[in-house]
Amino acid sequence: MSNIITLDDISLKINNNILLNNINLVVNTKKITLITGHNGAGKTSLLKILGKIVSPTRGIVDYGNDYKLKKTAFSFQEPIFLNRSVGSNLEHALTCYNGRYSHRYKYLINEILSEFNIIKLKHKLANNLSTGEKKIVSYIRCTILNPHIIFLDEPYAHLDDRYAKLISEHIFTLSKKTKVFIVTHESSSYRDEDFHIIRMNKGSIV
Amino acid sequence: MSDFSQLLTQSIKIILDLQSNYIDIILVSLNVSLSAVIISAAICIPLATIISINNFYFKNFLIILINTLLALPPVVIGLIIYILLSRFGLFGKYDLLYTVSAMIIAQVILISPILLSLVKETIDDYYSQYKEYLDSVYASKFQKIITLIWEAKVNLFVHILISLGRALSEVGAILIVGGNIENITRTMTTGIVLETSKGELSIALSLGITLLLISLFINIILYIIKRKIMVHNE
Repeated sequence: MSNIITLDDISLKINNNILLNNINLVVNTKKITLITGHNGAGKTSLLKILGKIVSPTRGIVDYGNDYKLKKTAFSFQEPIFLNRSVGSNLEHALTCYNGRYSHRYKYLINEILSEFNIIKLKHKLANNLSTGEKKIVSYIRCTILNPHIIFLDEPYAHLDDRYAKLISEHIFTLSKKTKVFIVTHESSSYRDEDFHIIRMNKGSIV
Repeated sequence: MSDFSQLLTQSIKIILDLQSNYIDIILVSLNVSLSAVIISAAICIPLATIISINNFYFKNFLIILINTLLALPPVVIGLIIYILLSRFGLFGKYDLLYTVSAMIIAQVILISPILLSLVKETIDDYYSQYKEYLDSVYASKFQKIITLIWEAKVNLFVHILISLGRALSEVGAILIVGGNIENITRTMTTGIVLETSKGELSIALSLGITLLLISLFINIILYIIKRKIMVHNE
């Protein structure tokens, strides 16, 4: 099986702070990849490098042949929303992602919001939602794009048990056809046999 | 004091009489300033957004140049445009000197650096806020420009009003290129200069009061918008 992503000697330095130091990594498993570690370990930086949201100061990020031309999606730790309704935010993401607007987006948006039981939020301003609601909408905005690789930064943070379980089950189903990367503090409940776990400490993989 | 009261009464009477000369001056002023602001906004808003989201070799030099243009004295701009539009100038064949078009050109050149600078600063803020999201959804350059302008629309409207206030109060450049011709190129500010020099203080004061009232109107709109933004951000 060809590699999905290879990181070759990656370092990231911002304002003289070394966030990542000589990271070498080969991801070639379809299992969910978990990036864990303490605060400031470099988890989010690594995820942003993997998702090509941030360019490294040094080193090469290489997507495998099967993924070179494929699109990815990213859910940020602090969700970023345009100053519009939830529906318009999802529509904007779809339009940018696919390069054009389509009338079917409205049905797609209604369908996925209903699936997560938050259709009532469709016309609310995304920036006025609670932190938990923002995380759900941010996750939905990623999955609705139907990407080949999905990067999720703390997807369960601020969610109540019911939604944490719902999102967790959704991610598990999604992972059967999409490569999933997750950043999380919590690693004890994940078993090495079921997940590909990357443990980080002080900007390096341990 | 009684002289001033008399002057003020006469000025208010001129305003309330709404004579055709007075109306013409106001209409020329609004025509020149509004046209200049619309043209300038149509050029500067997309241009400032393009400068903001792109990194290119001369970017910093271009920003320094725009900031330098902010300090250009209006009379110098007026003089340069006068030379360019006069019969022996580069654009003399178009016969634009002493026309409203020449005044609009002068105002566009005057307010564009102000608008460019204000818009770029605002778009820089929005871009730093949305860059990662826009990159994550593969937004094209065009989609980024449209998204940022739409998101910043209220702030941009405030900048347009500030530029309009600046354009309305301008006198040096439009006096040189417009020639202050009655009923054709006379504006409130050039009218004040002329009437004061003639000793017609009541006419000058009536134009001054009108200009102040228009500025007051613009500032009330600015205040309402800023308050709405503050309430919205709370």
